[in-house]
Amino acid sequence: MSHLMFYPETGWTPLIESATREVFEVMLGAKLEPFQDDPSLVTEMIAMVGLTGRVAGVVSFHCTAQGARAMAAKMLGSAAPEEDSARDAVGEICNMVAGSFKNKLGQVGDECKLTVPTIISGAECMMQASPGGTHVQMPFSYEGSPIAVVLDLRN
Amino acid sequence: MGRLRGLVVDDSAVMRKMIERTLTQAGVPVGELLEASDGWEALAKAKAQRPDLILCDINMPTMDGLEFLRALKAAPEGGNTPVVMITTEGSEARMGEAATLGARGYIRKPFTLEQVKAQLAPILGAAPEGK
Repeated sequence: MSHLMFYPETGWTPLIESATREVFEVMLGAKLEPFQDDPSLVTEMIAMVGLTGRVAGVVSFHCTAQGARAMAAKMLGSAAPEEDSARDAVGEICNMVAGSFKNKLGQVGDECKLTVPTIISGAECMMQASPGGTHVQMPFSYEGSPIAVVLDLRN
Repeated sequence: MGRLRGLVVDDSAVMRKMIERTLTQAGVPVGELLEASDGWEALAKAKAQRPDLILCDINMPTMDGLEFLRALKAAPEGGNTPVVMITTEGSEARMGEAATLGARGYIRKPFTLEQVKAQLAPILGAAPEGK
């Protein structure tokens, strides 16, 4: 297996953006809108999925508690999901975004593996990328709530 | 066709519920749906309760879906049970490994209702009756 750094011709942004949109359109029946306001990543819930192999790093998904409940409600078909379901839903969304992103890498993605999701929650959660790596941040709006998908890759 | 006993294996309870709803929307005649959150739990339930159909994730803690499939196919109670993998893992290598281990279908997440129907149709056509 080659350990040379891989860089897609299109850059990373279209890949992570299309992976995110695909998950929301197929699994939640939702078309994501661009988020125009402050793209700060200070949120209330963060899910993370690690990626190992020729493309190594973390895909993370950031949202508010209200947004997490809205996504869980849509996935479960229930009006008022519990806190555990909201966390679970956010983890699964992040897992699918990371999987879809990996699948878009073709043969290089085939050589990569994903970790199971980790979810953290609390007031003003914040995640900071390692210096020197690739950082792509995609802010969206889901039913009026801000969400963000972040790709942090090791160079 | 009779009512089936299904087993959904995924470490996400939300995803298990989504799969259950999708089976209903696809018109799969599920009489009883068992759930497991990892391969070990799934193996115990598959051996004890002999489901007619298993839908199984791959990336799970403790025992992943491919390890579960290998163990199930080696067990006298589970060798013939149809297993469909339902996972974010879309690599040709993983799909080939699952097929070699005896998976009857492979559904990538995110999935559409049509994709689920297409993968289950050949299996349901041959499903046992009377449960």
